[in-house]
Amino acid sequence: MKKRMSLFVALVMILGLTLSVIPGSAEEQITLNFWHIWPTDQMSEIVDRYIEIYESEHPNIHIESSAYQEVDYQTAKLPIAAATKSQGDVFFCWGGGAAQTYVDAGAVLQLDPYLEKYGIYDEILDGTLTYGTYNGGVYGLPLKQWAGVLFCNQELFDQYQVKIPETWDDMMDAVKTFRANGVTPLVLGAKDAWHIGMIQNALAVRTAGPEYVNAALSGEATMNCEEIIRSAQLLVDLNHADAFCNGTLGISSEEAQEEFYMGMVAMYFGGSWCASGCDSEDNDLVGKVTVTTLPVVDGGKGDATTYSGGVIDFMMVNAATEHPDEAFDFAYGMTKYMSQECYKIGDSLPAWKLPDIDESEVSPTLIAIKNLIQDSTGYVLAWDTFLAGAAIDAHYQALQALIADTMTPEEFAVAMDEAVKAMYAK
Amino acid sequence: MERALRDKRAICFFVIPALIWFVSIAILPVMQSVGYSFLEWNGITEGRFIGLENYRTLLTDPLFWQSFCNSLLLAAASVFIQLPISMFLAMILVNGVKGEVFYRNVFFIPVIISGTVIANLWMKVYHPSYGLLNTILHSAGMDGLQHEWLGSTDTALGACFVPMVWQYIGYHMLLYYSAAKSISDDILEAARVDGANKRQMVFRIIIPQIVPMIKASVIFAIIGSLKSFDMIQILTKGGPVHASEVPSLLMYVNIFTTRRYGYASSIAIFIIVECLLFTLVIQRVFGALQKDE
Repeated sequence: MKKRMSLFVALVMILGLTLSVIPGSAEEQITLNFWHIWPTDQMSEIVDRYIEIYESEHPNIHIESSAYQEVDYQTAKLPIAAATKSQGDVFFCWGGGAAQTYVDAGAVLQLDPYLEKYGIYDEILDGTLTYGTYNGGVYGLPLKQWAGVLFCNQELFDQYQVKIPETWDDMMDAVKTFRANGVTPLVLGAKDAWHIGMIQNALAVRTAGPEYVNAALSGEATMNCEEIIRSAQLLVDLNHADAFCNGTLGISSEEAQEEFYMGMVAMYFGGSWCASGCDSEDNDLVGKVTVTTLPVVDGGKGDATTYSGGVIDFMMVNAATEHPDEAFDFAYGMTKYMSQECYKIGDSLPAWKLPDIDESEVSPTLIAIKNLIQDSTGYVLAWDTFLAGAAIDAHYQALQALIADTMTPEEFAVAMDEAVKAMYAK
Repeated sequence: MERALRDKRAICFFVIPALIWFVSIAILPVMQSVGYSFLEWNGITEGRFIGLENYRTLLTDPLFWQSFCNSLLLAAASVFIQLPISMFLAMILVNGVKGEVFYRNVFFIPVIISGTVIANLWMKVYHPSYGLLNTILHSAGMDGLQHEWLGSTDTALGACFVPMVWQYIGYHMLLYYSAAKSISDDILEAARVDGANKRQMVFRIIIPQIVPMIKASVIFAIIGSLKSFDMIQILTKGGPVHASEVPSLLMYVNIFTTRRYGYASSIAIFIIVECLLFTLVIQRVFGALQKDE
């Protein structure tokens, strides 16, 4: 009896030991660091929600997420970390000129083997990988698309009987009418030079056409040509017609944009990301916004189906990660999930072929933009994301100088030509 | 005490931890920057040694000289506007005003508020359409004096200086005030017995007594001006069109926008050397002044 009892106890013990050991030994615990730029609001909720989903589906993986302010992240945090390949296993980064240095330095994992292995190419919308591709290899998963469009406050247009501009002459007439009635016609916070670039870059698409501008930004055509000069001239014309708020060079993009959201400014040429602001209950614009393309320019080579915009936001994987498979799997899931959720909240257009989404959940302004651009024929990225290094600063300085009237459109074209040439000479 | 100071081994023992700390977080990085300043380097990939080329570019860069002159102007504004105001306020307080402690604290409040907060505050004050400044000018009927304060190349630099000078008035005031308060009552009493009036007390007794503190505060003001960054970065980002550029902003842009680490390091080294030189010159000048007396 005693013998049997001790055998029983021993058996129970062995069983207990094996049971407790098996789950632990089968899969090792993995921690992945995820670096992103959405510390607050809806975007951070989306990120946190997916991390929760992912962790519950993969109990052996823990995601350590770190959120940074975008500008500090892009300009300081990431470059410093990438120098020693110590950025997150999965990290957010702009494609185009911004990630070029990281790719050159070998800090980014090439994703083609994984995309092929899991057959993911087919899930991504055509053309969205362009600026995440370097030397023929894909290094980033596209997160979202944006397009530059003209947001018009329909209430103000009705009040002063102005028609939504279709041509540049309409635009200048609208500017004059609004100004004469004491309404600021167009949003611009020129203290942030990229905000000026939004308008000038889009005008260049109108005057020179997307093929030419893309070639010029790639260093294959000259920036010093009549069409680029004209794009700068049109910007200067707007400025001289008092299209922008008082003292715009001292006003930041957020301050200027806020006046539009408060219903005080008639038009805003901005990225599709402004749709969420237009539809936000916090602002006074709900239901009042009409979106349209930037007016066409007489004799310009880019028609109304060409846009500034594209895909520049990418999710990348650290080349030095210890768990490339898991990191890729997480990056893939997160990117696809965010692409869908960001569309719903009106932040951006999706970069992935998503299953049917209930459009009643989506921001109405963003749906309007999606309908507007569905027959688009060409895109050009914002120049400050296409270019890199000193060329970005040269672009910013030249834009501000145009608004301050210390540089002529001709000098602008020369300055840009020199900057782009210097960038590719290296 | 004297015996403790004579024990060199004890001194070494107690100084070394702080020294190691100081060397590793202050001296070493400076030395590293010196090394970087000889490179053409984007901060990520391998750098290329180019000797003194960065310094040559620096000295021939008109933008750099403009920013350097701006920082000198700021230093001058600090010394000749900020410090006299601080001194004036300190002397009023020292002479006993009703609510002395209250005023002392009120003047000191801007010092404890973060520069970024102050800059945001003044950004609103300067707003061309609904800012406090233009609104006051308008209601006073002085529309002609209204400006796009931060948006015009003529006024941006001056508009940046005002809050920078204003913020630290209280700081220097407190330095003078506390120095003046620590003057021995015997001296003041003697002066009073000799029949000195308040003006004479200030100029003949108090100010000469606090010269060492004035020296320190001049050094603080000048060094602070030469390496000023936060306020201008928020108010104008050095713009419009470089009108309010200062060397530290230029360094920032060169590191983080244009990715020229080498060139930016040479600017950093310039700022360090410049600060050291100014400190030395001020020491000498005050040394000479004190000898004269």
